[in-house]
Amino acid sequence: MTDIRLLLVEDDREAAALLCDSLRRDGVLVTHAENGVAGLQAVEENTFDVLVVDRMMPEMDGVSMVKAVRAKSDRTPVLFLSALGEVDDRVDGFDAGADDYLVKPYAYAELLARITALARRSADAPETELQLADLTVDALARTARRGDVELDVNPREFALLEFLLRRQGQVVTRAMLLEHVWNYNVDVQTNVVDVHVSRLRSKLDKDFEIPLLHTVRGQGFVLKADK
Amino acid sequence: MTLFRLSSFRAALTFTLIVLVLVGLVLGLVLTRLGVQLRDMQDRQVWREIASLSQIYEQDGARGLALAVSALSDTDPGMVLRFSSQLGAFLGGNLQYMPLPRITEQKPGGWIEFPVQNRNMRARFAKLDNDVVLLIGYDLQDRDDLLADMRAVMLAALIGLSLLGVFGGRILADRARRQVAAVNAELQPVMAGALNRRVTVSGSDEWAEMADHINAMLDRLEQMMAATKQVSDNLAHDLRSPLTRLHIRLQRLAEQAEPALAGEIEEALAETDGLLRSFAALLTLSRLDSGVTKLARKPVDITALVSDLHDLFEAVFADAEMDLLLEADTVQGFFGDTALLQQALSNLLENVLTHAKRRGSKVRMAVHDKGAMVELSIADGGAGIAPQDRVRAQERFVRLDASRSGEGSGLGLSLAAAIASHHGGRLSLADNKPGLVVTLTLPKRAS
Repeated sequence: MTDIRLLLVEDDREAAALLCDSLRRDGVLVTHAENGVAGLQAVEENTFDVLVVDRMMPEMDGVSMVKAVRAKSDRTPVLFLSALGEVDDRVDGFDAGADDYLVKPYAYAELLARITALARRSADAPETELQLADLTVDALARTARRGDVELDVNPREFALLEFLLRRQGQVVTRAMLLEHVWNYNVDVQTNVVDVHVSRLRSKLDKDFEIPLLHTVRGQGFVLKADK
Repeated sequence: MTLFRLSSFRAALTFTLIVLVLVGLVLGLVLTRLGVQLRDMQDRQVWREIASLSQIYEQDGARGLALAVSALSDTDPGMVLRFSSQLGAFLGGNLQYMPLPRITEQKPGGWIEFPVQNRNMRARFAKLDNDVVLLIGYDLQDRDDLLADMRAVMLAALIGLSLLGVFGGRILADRARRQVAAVNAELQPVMAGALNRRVTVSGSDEWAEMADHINAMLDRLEQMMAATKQVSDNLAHDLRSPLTRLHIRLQRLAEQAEPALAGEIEEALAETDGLLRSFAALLTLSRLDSGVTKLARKPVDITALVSDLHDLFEAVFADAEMDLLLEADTVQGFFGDTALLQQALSNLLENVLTHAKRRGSKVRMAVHDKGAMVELSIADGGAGIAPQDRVRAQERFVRLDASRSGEGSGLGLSLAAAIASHHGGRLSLADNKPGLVVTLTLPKRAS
């Protein structure tokens, strides 16, 4: 796994310093720019796998910067950070060309999971046959089997499994699952996702020696073959 | 709006009624006085005729009187004349017989009234000397006809006046109603949150003055709203950034700390999360209330939205040994904000999970198509809310069961209500016998 090259565009120096520090510990190569103008310049001079851009900044805000980047046919994945968290702002963000959106305050694990997902996505090609250890999933026929045993999963569980499998080895957060599997963009307090994951786990891992679906405490879930 | 509910119309009607009564009184008085005056005039005429006939009789005797009487009854057919002997024998005039006593009315001043061929006569006796008695009078019908004629004319005038009052009032009321309707129509978008709209000012009458005042008020309101938005945006930025840093620091501490300490830090993190969640909900609420957030108004497949939500929550309800049932009509042509509706409904479902948890109970989630409206309801089998507490339950930070002080921010229901009114609808609470039904009634297309 190659290191992720990331540009963080954030005007809050203290938050940026903390974030850069944490990201570097997790092996991300971080460049920091303090505003949209500096960010745009950095994008022109270097290649990045992911751009993390704060929305509200002095001297060119996030939306203008991302529009400028997209205007140059640069498809680098963009994640917006926003303190507004308003629904219409969110739509504005996606309209400007953002790929993902995170509202402050976010959990660091959430940000890291999303950065990883965005960076990997740029390399992924859409496959229809997915595999992990003895698990095989046919995305077209919508069937899942472990070895010779066909798994009896309902459509929603299948969507959950496919989403996790396409990101195998990556931590996927509850909010990401809500957004992509249930098309649900608002904050839920109860453990709705956990219940679904545990149902899937009972079908996926119960009768097999190697567990595949793991819970990462304080972060989310990951589908992987090793412990 | 019916005509009678318009104040200007009612004012016009009241005014017309007062004028009608006054004019009616005056005209009545005039008619009465006129009747009296006419009678006096005719009475005086009779006295004059008596005087002149008496003089003729003195000078020319009975023969002269007969000539004068016949001349007089010829020239004035309205006069009734008869002279007779002391015993009543007819000597001359146009009245052959004396009026019968039973049809004769005695009037003050020695006058009598009696009918002759269905015409009322007013007359009196005048004794010219011991031999001759004169009965002289006049036909009352002419005066009565005149009075009746005048009464008819006056009545017509009164009817005309009342019609003028009703129609004039109607025209005035319509004018006022149009003016008010124009202002109301222009204020409609303002009420929906478009504070930059203004009322058109034309001319310099009292309506223009009112429009001016409304506009001045809107200017002020817009400034205040802008200031509020600025404050809340600043709050959002200035408070959330340090809170985010606090969050990151706590997370890093939790990773590095020893297990015992890490638990404490996780608790602190959870507290921060709760705080931020309330903060976000409050911010959304104030933005919805102030109209700063515009309704996204995009086509929403509300049936799919509800069934996805059912799919998402069904498992949690099953875990709590409750049954989440779905009852969904296919709703077409609904426009609104998907994320806000999801927020409202998930708040309501989470409320059931925190406040109405009862093993084995059924929770019914329903969408009903009511023509121009859509009804979204969630009915639980919990303890319900007493009728007197239902309004208070929708207020911010209100948690009815004090024993559950730790759970929920007390904003869930207020937020759902604000989202309903943002869509031009409303939230209502009712008894599910047992339990609570929360219903969002939303227009398919908010105006």
